Amino acid sequence: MLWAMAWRNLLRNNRRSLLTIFGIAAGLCALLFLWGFNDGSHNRMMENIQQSYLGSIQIHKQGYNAKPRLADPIVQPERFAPLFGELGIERWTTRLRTFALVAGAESSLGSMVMGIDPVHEQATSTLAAKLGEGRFIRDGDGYVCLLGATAARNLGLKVGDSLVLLTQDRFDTLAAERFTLIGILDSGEMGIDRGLAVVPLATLQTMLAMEQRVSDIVMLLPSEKLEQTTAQLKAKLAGEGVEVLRWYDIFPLMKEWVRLDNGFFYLFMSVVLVIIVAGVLNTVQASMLERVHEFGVMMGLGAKGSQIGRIVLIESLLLGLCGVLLGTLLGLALVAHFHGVGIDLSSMMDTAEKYYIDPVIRTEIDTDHLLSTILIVLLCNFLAALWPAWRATRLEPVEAIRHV
Amino acid sequence: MSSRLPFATHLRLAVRNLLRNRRRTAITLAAFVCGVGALTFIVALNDGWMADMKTNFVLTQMGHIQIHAEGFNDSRSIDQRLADPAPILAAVARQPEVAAVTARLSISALASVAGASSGVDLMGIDPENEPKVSRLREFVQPGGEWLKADDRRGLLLGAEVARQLDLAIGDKVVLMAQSPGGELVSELFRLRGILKSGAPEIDQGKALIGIDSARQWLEVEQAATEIVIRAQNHEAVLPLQTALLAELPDPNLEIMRWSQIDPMIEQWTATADASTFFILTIVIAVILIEVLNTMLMSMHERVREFGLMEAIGTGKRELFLMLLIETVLLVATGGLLGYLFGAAISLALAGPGIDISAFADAFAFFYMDPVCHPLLTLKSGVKIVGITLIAALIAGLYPAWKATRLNPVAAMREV
Amino acid sequence: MALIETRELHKHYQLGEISVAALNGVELAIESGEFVVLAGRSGSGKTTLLNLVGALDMPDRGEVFIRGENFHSLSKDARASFRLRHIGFVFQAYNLIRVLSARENVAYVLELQGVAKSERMTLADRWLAEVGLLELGDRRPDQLSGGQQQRVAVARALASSPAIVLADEPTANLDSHTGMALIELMQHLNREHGTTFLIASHDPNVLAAAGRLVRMEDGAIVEEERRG
Repeated sequence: MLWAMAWRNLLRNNRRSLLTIFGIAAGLCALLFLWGFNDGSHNRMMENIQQSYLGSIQIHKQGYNAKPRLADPIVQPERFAPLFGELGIERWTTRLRTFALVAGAESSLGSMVMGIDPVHEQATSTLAAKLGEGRFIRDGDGYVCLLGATAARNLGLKVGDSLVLLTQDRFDTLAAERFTLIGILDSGEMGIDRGLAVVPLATLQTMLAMEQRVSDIVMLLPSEKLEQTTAQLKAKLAGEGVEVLRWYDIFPLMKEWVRLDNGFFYLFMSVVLVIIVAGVLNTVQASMLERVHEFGVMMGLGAKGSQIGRIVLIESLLLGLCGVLLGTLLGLALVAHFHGVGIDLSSMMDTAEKYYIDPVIRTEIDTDHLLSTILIVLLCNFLAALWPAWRATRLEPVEAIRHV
Repeated sequence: MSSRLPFATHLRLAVRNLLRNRRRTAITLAAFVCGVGALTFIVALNDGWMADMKTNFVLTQMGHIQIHAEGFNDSRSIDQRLADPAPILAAVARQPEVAAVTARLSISALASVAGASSGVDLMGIDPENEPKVSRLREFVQPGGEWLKADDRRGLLLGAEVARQLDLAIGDKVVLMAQSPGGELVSELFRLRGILKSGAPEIDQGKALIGIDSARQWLEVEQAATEIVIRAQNHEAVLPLQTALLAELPDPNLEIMRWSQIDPMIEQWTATADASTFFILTIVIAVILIEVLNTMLMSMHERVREFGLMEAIGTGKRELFLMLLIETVLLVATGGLLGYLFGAAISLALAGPGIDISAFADAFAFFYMDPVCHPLLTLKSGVKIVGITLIAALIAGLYPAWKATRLNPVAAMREV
Repeated sequence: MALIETRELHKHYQLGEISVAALNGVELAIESGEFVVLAGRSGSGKTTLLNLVGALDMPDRGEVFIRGENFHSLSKDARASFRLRHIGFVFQAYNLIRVLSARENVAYVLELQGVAKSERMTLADRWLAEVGLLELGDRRPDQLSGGQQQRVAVARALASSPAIVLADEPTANLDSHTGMALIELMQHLNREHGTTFLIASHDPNVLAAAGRLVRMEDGAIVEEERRG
């Protein structure tokens, strides 16, 4: 009958019960919404960087990432195509990378040169979308080049101008070729704007005497498939002398930063939890105080202290469950709403694209954050009730009965 | 709002009423103090992080103020250079806010060894004055050494560059660049040291040689591309810039603050602040709701008492005011105490700082130390206390208003 | 040995600086089946004596034996079990658990004793019938009159088949007519089931119904009277 009693007591005092439930719900809803904000901006950031040029997974010759050398290419990348098809990898492309001096009419710049496959690159990265002027590289193009906006400006080059790329080929011989600037990349990202030159893969392979060799295979995957696909690739490519790297293996900074930011967030979360605990504590105290006489009568009849304590706990548990249920529904509703509508913070953040941040934040919450937050609120609710429950067990029947 | 009772009486009543249910008041206050205290501390951590970031950024290589030939900041071309930096250096040295000044010659170059090459930002520096302005010298790894004034072929490279080119101290490196005449010039240098700062623009792309060596190699006589100034402190930067603009009115010069040259840190700070502000607002909203809850509960319990008061002649305005003051008093006390509590912890930890080196990698990029020093700022303090007080007012209005809607007789019958 | 026996019972209360002696060496023996009324003004110690006999409180000095058992050294929980087994209570007011129906209130003690659910309800109904309230079994306390509530309390007190029923001012909140009816009910139950009743009261109707009247004053028994 404990559960029946607990439930009926809550209903009896429904203003107070409702207020408490609402308090817990508001706290949980706020937490879920904040997580939505947090996860939404983080997930977008990590997605953006993968789409920008990093990709989700890169495959190179073993050791290439640590020491990129032309002498360490992947030979015959097409032989992996069937494997990729089998694993459901649809978006992938090949690239060749090296450093060169880009010489304009009067000055020159050091720059990374990237040879891309015009057909597959567009599915794998958003490079084409970053085109400011001119046109992107097409299948069949020869000695054409894209430059970042800052680099082009510093070299005094406009679309249609000539430039020279100077570098060393596979045999350490100086290689220099004249290219025509056909487009300018304006991404806002320093790495691209100031330091990237993009040319057709075939052209670069010829220039560097690389034949059909490439330096990277880059693939884009949805985040849920990342870990599994990596494991599968590593298993299937075990003897091939290649390294399979996830984006955060190459660029760990961002994941670490997300961890740090989440760390700050947990701090804020604890503040909210303290407030929730205080609210629950107050309610349970208030309700307990009212029932001291009744508890005394029950003890007089032979109920043990622990049984009285249990009633207090069960009541608070029921309140907590209702509050959590309501809070979860409200929180998820808010997250869903702002996922569609988005929270526009662009007035406060100028060129946040530099850091792959989207100033319009679409909330979304990671499942493990959702579950852990719900659990922790339930736990806090329970802990908050422990002290009043313990005090209930220590009631002395005579005094309790005398209580008004 | 005219009132028949003096404010002091209201205040006393409010205090007595709050003390009636000591436990509830204590719990609510405690929650407040913890809540606002924690918020204060978290914001102080954030502010400290930002301040440290600014300092680190400035001292890594940017300096507080730079002077270039007009247009250099955009073009980064050696064609825009200061042919005769000496009078400028003299004018700068005369300013009291200047802590140190140095000259640099910067150009884009290619560093090659057999089998590999890498683009670098080459910077010719003054080995004697550069360490007074920036921390570049501190980044030299053990085993290497800083450039000596008479070393014509000495070269320092960022750690990533050195690693990619597979270099060890003493190895030969060929540097290739385009001189102002348009000629491609190359020269052999020897690696004297490796720079590791954590900042990618140094580690992944910097090459340092002596400025005299650079001048000679690129045939620019005594020219410099940048004059870099370290001010006494952040606050001195703006006045210093103003003074310099007055002292050196030459239109062919650009005198720029660090935040004008690379707005990255300011934008980063703005982003972080926006995020923090958003979260802060939500958290305080939660606090507000909980206070509202508590006050509603407590007032419901006192319904009979309110009915009684009205029956014996207390006006509705009086009642409203009394309850409003009660809430505001509770919240304001809690908020202020909380702020003081949080401020005390922040001040206590400001010196030793908090070690968060578990996240070590992320830090270096954001110009952070693994030890974070909380910082109390007036701006943040005003924000927190201000929002709390406004929340207090809002939280107090509804229950107070509700109480005045009672019918005294019905109220007194309530059990 | 008598059903209830007290020896040299002493109890005092601390009111700030002052120590008030509630019981000053009370010696009382009650046989099984008796209908005893403790009479006296408020402050005479009758409630205190009741509490001590009912194992609700502990004496400073002296002992209480119920069925030869002394609960003196028992823990709070053990005393609760003791009460459950041996004693039924009827208080002055607010006896019932507000959220339970009359039937459930009676069943509550049975649940404490571990009686199975189906049996509980049947037994509860039986006792409700004994006090004439079977049809009102589903009502909550706030739907019952004062007198009806007290009857339910009596039913509950007897439901656990205790050796003793202790009642503290059971008619104080009732009008005299209802109060009389309640006392008659108690007398009836006393005769029917042989349950011992110990009632503290200053209601003249209750005093008149006593089988044995024990007068108390200033913490001591001053007079005893046996009636027919």
